[in-house]
Amino acid sequence: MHKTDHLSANSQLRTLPLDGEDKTAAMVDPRNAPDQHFIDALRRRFPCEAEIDRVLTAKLKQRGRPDYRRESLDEVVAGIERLLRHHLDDEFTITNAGWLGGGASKMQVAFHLDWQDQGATHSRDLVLRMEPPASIVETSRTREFEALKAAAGIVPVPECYWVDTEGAFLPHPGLIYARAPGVTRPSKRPLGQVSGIGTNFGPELRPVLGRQFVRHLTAIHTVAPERLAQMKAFDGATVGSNASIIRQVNWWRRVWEEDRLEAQPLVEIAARWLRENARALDHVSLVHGDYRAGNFLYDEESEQITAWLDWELAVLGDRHQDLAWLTGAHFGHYAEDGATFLASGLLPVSELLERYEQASGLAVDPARLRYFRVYNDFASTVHMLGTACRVARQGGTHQDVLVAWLAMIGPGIAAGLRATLEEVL
Amino acid sequence: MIPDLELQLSVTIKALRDVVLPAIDPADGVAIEQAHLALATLGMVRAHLPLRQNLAQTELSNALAMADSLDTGATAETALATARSKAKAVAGNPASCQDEMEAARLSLLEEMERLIADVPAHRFAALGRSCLAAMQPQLDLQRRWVADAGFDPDATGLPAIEKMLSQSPANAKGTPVSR
Repeated sequence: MHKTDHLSANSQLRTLPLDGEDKTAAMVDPRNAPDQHFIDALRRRFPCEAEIDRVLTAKLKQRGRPDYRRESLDEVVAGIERLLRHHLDDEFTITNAGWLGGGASKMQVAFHLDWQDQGATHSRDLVLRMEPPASIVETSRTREFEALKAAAGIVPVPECYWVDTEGAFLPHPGLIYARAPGVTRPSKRPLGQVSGIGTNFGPELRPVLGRQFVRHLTAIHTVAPERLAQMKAFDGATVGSNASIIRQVNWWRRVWEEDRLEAQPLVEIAARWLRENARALDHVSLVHGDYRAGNFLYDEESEQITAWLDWELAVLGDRHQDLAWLTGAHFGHYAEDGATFLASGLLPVSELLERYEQASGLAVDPARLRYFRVYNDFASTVHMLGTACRVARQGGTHQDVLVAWLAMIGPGIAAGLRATLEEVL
Repeated sequence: MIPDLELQLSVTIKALRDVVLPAIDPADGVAIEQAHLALATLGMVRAHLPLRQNLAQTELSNALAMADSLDTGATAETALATARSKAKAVAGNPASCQDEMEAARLSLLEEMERLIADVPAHRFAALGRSCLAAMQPQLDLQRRWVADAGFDPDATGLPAIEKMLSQSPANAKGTPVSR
């Protein structure tokens, strides 16, 4: 079954077309306009969590549409109004709506809302976070909403208000949450790369933020099982089982098969090694999935973290996934001495891991860290060398030029993946 | 050809930089970010355009070297052997155009990925190691190609891209690399 499915998906591949609307091109690369046979074969070959399967299947079914044109602000505000009329009985007023930049995968609109709800008057600055038709990473707004709810009160996160999981009211699926105050990087320091990668906080601010960084990570990873059990859009994970990580590997391997413009033996080598070396969980954690500098806001005056953002890649699984991610080479930089690498621009790696162990009571296992270094680089290679180029080429995002730029992270990550696999294979 | 590609790129860059970007509303952070990225992307394209033919030749040569690393003579690798044979013919033909070289390279990659997916477990580690070693030149080339984006500081330590391309024997002599 496995071989047949693989062959049927690939048997007509030749030169990749340049125009996603070209019917001849669609016949050559089934990924341009996938049919039900192609979709079903991938679902059978790469079983993953139910909500992930739903999101990826929906993605493929709407692929092949004309180039995306970003909705006007008025169109988006009209969608917000429809959503609010569905939830609120009383009148409301939307003001000061405007596009927010800074994120690579989702569209964001900031606005102010005055509304009445059950006799109480509310006035808040809010953010609509909405999917474009195609994204550098395709995720579930339901899962993101549930992850934010699970983390609320544990670490600072934006307060969630409403979610439109199917795009019944909004132009696309989205959620609305409170706008958190703060910045992602020092306003007076030189800009880092896009998306907060490689942010330099400076030697005075690093220890202050670093302490909070570790404390919050610990708190997320030790969220109580009762709270995790309420996350119904997550299939759940079990101590003593490796089923959850195998589902995760299948998730990204499926995405690679759905999105890649060209094959890469490196990805298949990584996927096989990850499946064959998947370890049983020793503790089920809420894993943020993208825990790093660039994904928290802080107040410049008080130097306190005000919100953790971008929970769309959250999973229930192994804490080492976050630990390997935030210590990754592309998210940090060397300190002023030119020799000390600072994880996420905040702390030396060994110091960070030591503090984490002390605060959490959970061991950091070097072998699991190495496993998740492979896993994270595998997933990132899929994002950058597969999905980013696919969605930019098909004109499916609201910022194709940014997505194509970010794809250039891919070769460095792939090189790191190759080197690590050489160590472990 | 009038106007030539270099002229079209240079005037587009100038217009974006000197006229369009200064006219964007400073409050529109998204538009400003995308305008800067558009400029940077065009600059990279302009630098890389003269190298395209060389790139296609080198990438095909690298793919053939990877395919060689998976050649164990086993009959199960027949599809890969067929793709290798066709790719060698393309690589060895001085009249091959970029599209032909690209198609041959992509076909090789497909067969290699398929072979690794289907190889029996007892052979996976050895084949994997062999393939990983053989893919380093291609990954180094890709890293150097995009080094100016600034995501991979170590990539600037690799040789200049022109050297990485010209080192391919296929480029120097017009002959295939693989045995």
